[in-house]
Amino acid sequence: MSDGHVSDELPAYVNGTLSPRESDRVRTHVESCRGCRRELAEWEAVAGAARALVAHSAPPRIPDGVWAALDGERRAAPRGTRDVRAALSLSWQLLRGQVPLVRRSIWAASALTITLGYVVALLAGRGSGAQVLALLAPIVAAFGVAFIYGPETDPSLELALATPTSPRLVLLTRLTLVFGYDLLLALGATVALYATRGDMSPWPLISLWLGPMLFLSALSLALSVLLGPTAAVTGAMLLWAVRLGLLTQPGRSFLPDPAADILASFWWTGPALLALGGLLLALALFYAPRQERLSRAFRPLGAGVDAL
Amino acid sequence: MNGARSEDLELMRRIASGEHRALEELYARHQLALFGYLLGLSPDRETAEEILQDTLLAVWRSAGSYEGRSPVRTWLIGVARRQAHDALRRRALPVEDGVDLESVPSREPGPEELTLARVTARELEAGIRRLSPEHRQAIVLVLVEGLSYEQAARELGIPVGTVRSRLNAARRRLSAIHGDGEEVAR
Repeated sequence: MSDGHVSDELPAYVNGTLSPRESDRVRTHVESCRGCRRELAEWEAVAGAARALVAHSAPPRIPDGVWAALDGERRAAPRGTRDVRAALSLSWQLLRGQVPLVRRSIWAASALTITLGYVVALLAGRGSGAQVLALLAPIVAAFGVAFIYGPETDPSLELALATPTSPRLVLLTRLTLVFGYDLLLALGATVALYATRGDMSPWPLISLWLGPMLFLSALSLALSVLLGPTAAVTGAMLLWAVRLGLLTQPGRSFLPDPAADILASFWWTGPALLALGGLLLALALFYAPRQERLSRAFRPLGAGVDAL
Repeated sequence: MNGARSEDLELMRRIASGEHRALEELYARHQLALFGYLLGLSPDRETAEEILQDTLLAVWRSAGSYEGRSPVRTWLIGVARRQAHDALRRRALPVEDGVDLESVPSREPGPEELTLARVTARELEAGIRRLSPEHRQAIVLVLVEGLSYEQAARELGIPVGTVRSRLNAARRRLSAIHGDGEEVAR
């Protein structure tokens, strides 16, 4: 207002949304202007009455109509299909949500390595060349899985901790994404190899790497959750090196032959491998929330949440 | 603040897993802010309550997609805003009704006039109930929800100057209601 009165700004002054400078101006003016001082008192009274109005108008509890509608929804679809549909939609949301949270380099590194394996296998000629792929696929997956979760490697861990989704579910989702991606890569390379060479069935090759891939990934995940990604990568590499030793030099294995045979047969996709892998996966999932509790001791949840 | 925030997050987790009581608790925590906001957008209390029900249903259905990037209250208001816009658009309510602004003469404050500050809180509350929706909405959004004029203007879809003039007109109307010595509280 051109005459210096601050009437227009009084409501904003009352609710604290004026800038400090404007607030000072209003305060100074009000000290010396009786008319505006009276208006200020009126606005304060109106504010109090308006708050009381909201408090008295708001339903004290959730209206029954809401619960009725929710019950109606549940009756609308048979329980079975609704659960399945809800579960599928939630899973899809989870998967999509986790994609940007997985380390970017995993996607490129895995694709590059598998492609390299494919090329080498192609050039190596018939027979043993295809095994290059079988040797690469499991270790690629193990490396990818080592880095999907953990305080040392997860810039968005605070985000995950602040979400209502359980850490186990987050871990499982990322595992599905990374392992699924590597599995598709390996399958694609195997089928491509079969297509370009045409003389071998893909199935023996697949069974050569599938079981080890599952097992090594589960081992890597368990080590990553318990001890960190460095331990996971080291452990996976060591174990895989032993396995390679068994494969390429069966005659010169440091173990007596029957033992070496048993170990070599262990590495085929079979129940022993898969059972042990399943156990390791369960171990990783069991420990996942606990590990995050450890990380919370070093980085209080508040620090991360405030940064959101 | 962190304690309150983690409690809210825990409530959202429980709601997402289907616990009715968690929704009740969430409503109890944010009831005034949420309903105040709806009262600030709706033409009357009944509409505000209807939109509140739609909002709570939407909260129940979409709790699983809340990612914790913003405070729960902000998210709740966002859900409410969407529901309010849908509901009000469906009813094709008139956007602005400037008639009230013309009918109330502007008065300079004078020492003899009854001041609103001396009216009892209960009577003043009843007086606010009698205001037109535009006046009541401006008062609720600015003085109860604590929005700035710019924020209130955005929520209502009107110019900032209109927010100011509605507030002034509301105060003058309240003075008229109470200054005439009418029996307001029933």
